[in-house]
Amino acid sequence: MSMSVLCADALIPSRFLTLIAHLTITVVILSARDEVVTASLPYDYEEDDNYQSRKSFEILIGLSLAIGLLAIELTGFIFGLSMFMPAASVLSIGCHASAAIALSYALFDSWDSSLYWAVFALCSVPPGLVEMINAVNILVLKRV
Amino acid sequence: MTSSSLMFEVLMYLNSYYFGAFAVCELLMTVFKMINLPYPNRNIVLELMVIILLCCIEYARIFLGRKGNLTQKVGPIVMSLFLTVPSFLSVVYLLLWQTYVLRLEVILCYIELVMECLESVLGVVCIGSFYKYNDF
Repeated sequence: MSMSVLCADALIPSRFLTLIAHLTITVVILSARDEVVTASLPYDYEEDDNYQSRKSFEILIGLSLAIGLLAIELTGFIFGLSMFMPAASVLSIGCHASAAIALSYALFDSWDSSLYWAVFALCSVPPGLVEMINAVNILVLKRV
Repeated sequence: MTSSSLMFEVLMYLNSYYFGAFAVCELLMTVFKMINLPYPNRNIVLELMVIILLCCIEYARIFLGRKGNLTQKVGPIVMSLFLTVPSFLSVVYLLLWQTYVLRLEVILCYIELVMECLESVLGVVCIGSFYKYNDF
């Protein structure tokens, strides 16, 4: 079986599904933001609305950035920029699958919000960056 | 002259996999609700029926849409567009009128609805281009 057939058969659907899984769990956490804020309060916390709204805003920014990167990647993927690139697909599948698993753990075990940034840096940024470099290569520099 | 729509094929292909995952998630969530929440008997039967019917309709819709697009025939695509209506309504049922709606379900249903809308628009575009380039 040639490489491109293998890629079309297995990598494309699994990449799409892992992207959607990451998107879904991100939106779930976004809509359950209050629980995350409660979970990431310090032990010696005293009633302070300012602190809570700052935390809530921080989580909002992090998750919105993650959704933005996902949107860029989904667009590049569906319009075929990186659909037939096995290396980019494998990177993307690995990162997004681990992100989806890590984020569902985060929600169930009520992780601190600083850990979300670690997940963001490790699992959202690399495939998004690769996708953007890819898009610049193809659309601007006309290299394939 | 080929006038099949690549975007339509890509979306249908991805939707066939997405729907598989969607159906499995829906069934598992229904089982979860059955175990954990008090349910009137009639509702559970109704909801399971809706999910099973949705699977059948969606299978036929995607099959007909892809075949019609690849063979450049208008008939199957029109059938597929007709089948979009019950499919859309069943997803809306799962989204709004179910006994219990989970947060995860809301998001999954919205994604499915967005894909169906895009596919119906592209299906109409596809029929237009068949009429333009081929003499039926």
